[in-house]
Amino acid sequence: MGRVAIRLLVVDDHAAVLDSMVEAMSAAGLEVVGTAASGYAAVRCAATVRPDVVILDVQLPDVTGFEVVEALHRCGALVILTSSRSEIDYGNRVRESSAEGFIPKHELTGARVREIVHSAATGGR
Amino acid sequence: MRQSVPARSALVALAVAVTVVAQREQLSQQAPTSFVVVDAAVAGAFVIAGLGAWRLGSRAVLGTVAVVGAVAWQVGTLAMAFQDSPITFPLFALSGYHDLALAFLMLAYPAGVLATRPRRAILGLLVLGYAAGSVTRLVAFDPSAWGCDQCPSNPFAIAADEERFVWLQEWTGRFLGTIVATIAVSTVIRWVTGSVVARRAAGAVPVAGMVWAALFLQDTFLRPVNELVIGDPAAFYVMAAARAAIPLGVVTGLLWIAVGQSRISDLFSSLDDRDGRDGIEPVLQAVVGDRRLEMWWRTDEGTYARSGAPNHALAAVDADRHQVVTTITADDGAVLGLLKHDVALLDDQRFSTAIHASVRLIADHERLSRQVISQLDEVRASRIRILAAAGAERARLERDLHDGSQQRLVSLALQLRTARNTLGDDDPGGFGDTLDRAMKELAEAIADLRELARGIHPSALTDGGLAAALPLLADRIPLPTAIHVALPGRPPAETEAALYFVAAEALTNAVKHASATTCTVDVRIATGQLVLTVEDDGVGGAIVTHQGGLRGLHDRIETFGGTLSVSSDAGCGTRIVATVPADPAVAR
Repeated sequence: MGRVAIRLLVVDDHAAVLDSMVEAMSAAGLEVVGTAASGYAAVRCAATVRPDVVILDVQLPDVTGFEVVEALHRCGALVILTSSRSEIDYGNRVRESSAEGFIPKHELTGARVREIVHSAATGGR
Repeated sequence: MRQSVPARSALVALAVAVTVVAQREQLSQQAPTSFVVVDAAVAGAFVIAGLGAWRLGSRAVLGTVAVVGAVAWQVGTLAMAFQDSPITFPLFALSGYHDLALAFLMLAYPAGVLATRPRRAILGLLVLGYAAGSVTRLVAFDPSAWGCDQCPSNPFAIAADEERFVWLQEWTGRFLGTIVATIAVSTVIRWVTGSVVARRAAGAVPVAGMVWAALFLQDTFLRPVNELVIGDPAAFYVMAAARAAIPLGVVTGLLWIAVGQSRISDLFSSLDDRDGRDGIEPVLQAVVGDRRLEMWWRTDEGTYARSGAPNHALAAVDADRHQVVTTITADDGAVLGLLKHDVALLDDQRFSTAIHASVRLIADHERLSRQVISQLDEVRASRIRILAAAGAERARLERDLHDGSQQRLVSLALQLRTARNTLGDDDPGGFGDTLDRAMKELAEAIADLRELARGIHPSALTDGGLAAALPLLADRIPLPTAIHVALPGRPPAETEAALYFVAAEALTNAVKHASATTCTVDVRIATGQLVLTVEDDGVGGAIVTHQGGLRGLHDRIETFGGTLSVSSDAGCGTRIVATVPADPAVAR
């Protein structure tokens, strides 16, 4: 698998966690082009910087991640939901959302992100 | 007036004995059978009326006077039956007192007392007239001295003088006749001007009284007073019928009133708590037999409003001359309302007391109900507040765990992973293994913490409601569980939490105690109620103990105006059904 420079927008309202995520993604060779701490900030930012992928925390102070997935898609980004809770804590909502994937926050790795991006690119989600 | 049963029996026995003796004597003297029958029948009517009045209770004096009247009626017959013997003179002197008894009945009916001063005065004059007549007949009457050869001589005649006797008898007779006529006329006036209720109670008394008074007048003004034998048998029969009709009319009226009294129990059984104030007026109208009766309740503004028409309030309530307005007060003297009713109701103290009591009862009942309901509302509201506060506290704890410790651990996990990735495969010191172990430990710690947070308050419930939270609950227990949630929308958060915790406790019990192999959870709306059913196929035998988990669920569900039922027969599994109103506003 060739190393394509994937441009990321990372969204989380906990500063320490956001830093750790950015650090982990950068270390994994992904390009973090922006960060945001709320749902609306994420949409605004995505419209400007046009990332390839948004790593989107579900629990945000203004809206839930689910509610901005569509808006982010309209900015041309893939959306990967993440949370310190696990997927089942949200019942069907992760599956019902149009996000490309879900990664538990502490399991967030460059490899998982690439996997999802690749899967989306090949149309086999 | 209270008499013992023996005294009453003795009085009746006396009346019967006097009648039997008098009529046997008459028959032995070849008196016409019809005369004997009618004469005895009048005595019988008096006795029957007396027995009836006694039996009806509250107006025993009317009964006593009626039976005494029977005896008095036969005294005259005895005087005629024994006119060959000197005993005829004291009997003759004491004859005619049945009319005094009738006068008393007419004056005292239906209350059993002489209610007004004029009535007492009239009876007093009548007694004086009768006493004067008796004395005259005893001491001034001696027919043997006035040319009656068969007549016995009167041993009491200390002032016998025919002219004086006739004059005295004539004038006492006219005096008495006038008074009797006055009584009859006033009774008729009372009847005509009285209310419907009063008229019904009076029955035939006024008519009989008029006939009686007319013949009495005819008797005292037209018949020669020294004739002992009654001249015109037809007049005697009519008079006898009128005399018999008065006590019978009185007892019939008493019976009518008694029927009303027996309806006191109807009154109390007819009062329906649910109808409250508005329900009492028709009940009272029916029981009293007075369709014009009106119940006016006092309003908070101090005016009076009739049941069913709260907007038409009056400062005072007027009555016409057939009606009176009585004030009904509570035990503390506060005015509850005004009752407008027929004046005749006042004749019956017991009945009107009962009616007042019933109105008080309704008012008290309503006041206490209102108090209890408002207290109950307050308790229920405070229970909901306590539960809501506890729920909010749990949600806050969960959020704090999530936002605080969990975020730190997650951040740490990400950093460790970054470090591990940075280290790569080039790992001379074997740090990589240590880092892997630390990451594994950390992942478990994060999972534990997440589990703890879920137990405190499932975020899935907050985010996605029962449809999201219940499947999650099912995933966490080692038991195949089918979840079916069919709700059109989301119930209020407290209701959702209550149902969620019922399901959680029921599933925990199924795992821990029931040895169940499968479980089903069903949530749906049925007839305006949210119904949660949790069923397992375990051993059954669950009971709601005072401190058990089920008890707590019970309290939780009751708080929202719902019910919790547990059917858990041994060997037949356990079925727990929690039902709460779908619209909590209805429950409160």
